[in-house]
Amino acid sequence: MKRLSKKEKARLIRRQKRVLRIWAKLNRAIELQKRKEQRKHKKNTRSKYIPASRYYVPKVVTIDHPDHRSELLTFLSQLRSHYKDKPSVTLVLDFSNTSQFVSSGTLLLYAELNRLIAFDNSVKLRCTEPANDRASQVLKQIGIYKLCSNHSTVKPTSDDVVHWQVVQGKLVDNSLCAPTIEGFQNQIDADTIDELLGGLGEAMTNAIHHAYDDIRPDGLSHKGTSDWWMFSQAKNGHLSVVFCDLGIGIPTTLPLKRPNIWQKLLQRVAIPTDGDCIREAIIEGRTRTGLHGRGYGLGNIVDVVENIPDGTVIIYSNKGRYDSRKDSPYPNDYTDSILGTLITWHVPMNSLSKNRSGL
Amino acid sequence: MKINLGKQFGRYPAGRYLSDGPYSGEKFRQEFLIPALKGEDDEIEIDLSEARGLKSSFLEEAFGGLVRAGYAADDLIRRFKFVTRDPSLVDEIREYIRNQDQDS
Repeated sequence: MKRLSKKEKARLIRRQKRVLRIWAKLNRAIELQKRKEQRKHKKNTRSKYIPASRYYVPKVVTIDHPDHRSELLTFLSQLRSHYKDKPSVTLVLDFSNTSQFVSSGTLLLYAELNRLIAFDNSVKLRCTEPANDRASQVLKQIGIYKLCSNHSTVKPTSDDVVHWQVVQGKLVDNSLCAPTIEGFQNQIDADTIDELLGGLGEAMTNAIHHAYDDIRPDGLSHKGTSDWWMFSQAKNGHLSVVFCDLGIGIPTTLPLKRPNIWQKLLQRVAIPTDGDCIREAIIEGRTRTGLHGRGYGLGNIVDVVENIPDGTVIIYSNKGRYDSRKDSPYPNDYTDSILGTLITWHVPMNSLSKNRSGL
Repeated sequence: MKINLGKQFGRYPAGRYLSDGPYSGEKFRQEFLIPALKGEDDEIEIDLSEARGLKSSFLEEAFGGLVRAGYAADDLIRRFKFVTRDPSLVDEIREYIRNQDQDS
């Protein structure tokens, strides 16, 4: 074998180094290309950012005043459309403008949120806090922050907020409501507590027997279970107890379940309004037993306040409204429907009811 | 025979049928009233005073339901004695026994 000269050996070493440099350069280029392709692939497959949809909760949450009611019902309709059409988009309830919660409207809002969550619990529900501190306390106290996974540090301390209580159920079971109502036994006499519990029991029975017989016409095509919700609020020396179901409403069930009452109503009114239907069902229920203060069905519910001085009852069902006060500033019929039934009893605290047997 | 509704059955009776809830009129009728009527005692004393929120759905199903189950109204009115703070409750129960609800 021929021995390489020093010059030849050096040339070969230089050549080998050059080849190695070329290989290294080539490998780097391949690696760069690979990374570039990986980045491109990642960019193509990454889900696109979709901004959340923000819905502004009305300034006043109520179903009494026609304008505020309209705003609330439009807002609730927007939430339902979101759940139906854009379930992948985060829904933000913006409470920044909200400053007043009236118990009836607030219970309707709370019940609707619960129904929407039951309809599709994959929708991300979030909320912003109201600027008004008391309004924020209400949201914390009744659990709307919890529904929206909001970890607000606000503490309910206001006197008219700490007494807001919420109860929810699916059966006729007054033992769920009793702790809340009996919690006021030092401020309300035993007969009134008895009447309120009786009214709640009848409202639950009505809800379970009639309200959920058909699909609620809210666009969701969701029958759901026979849920009911109850709210209590002590404020300005009065206790308000509000009961709500999100069923088909008294004006819808009346012709189906009580055709005799419906026919009687048609003899008097050619096209009965929802308010007419509620009134007729109450009148029939109150006179059916023939006993004073001992009605039947809706009559029972109205009779709760019969013997309580300054006690009032309001029944909202779909577009109709019944108010036991003769001087109510609000109409018997509205243009928009709450799509359900809501009952409010309002009784004074620290007062005694009339003796039933004396009447 | 004595039955204390509030203590033996439930403090918050409400609802009509068994499917309505845990303290319904149908349940009270089946578990307390019918066994008592089948018993040896002629007089049955029902203490309503410790039960809260008694209203028509529960009362009609519990007592009016007995007539639908075949018991004679006059016999029921004669055998049942009630203890209550509210006399109108007794009138209401007797009314349901006499005229059981046609629409139920």
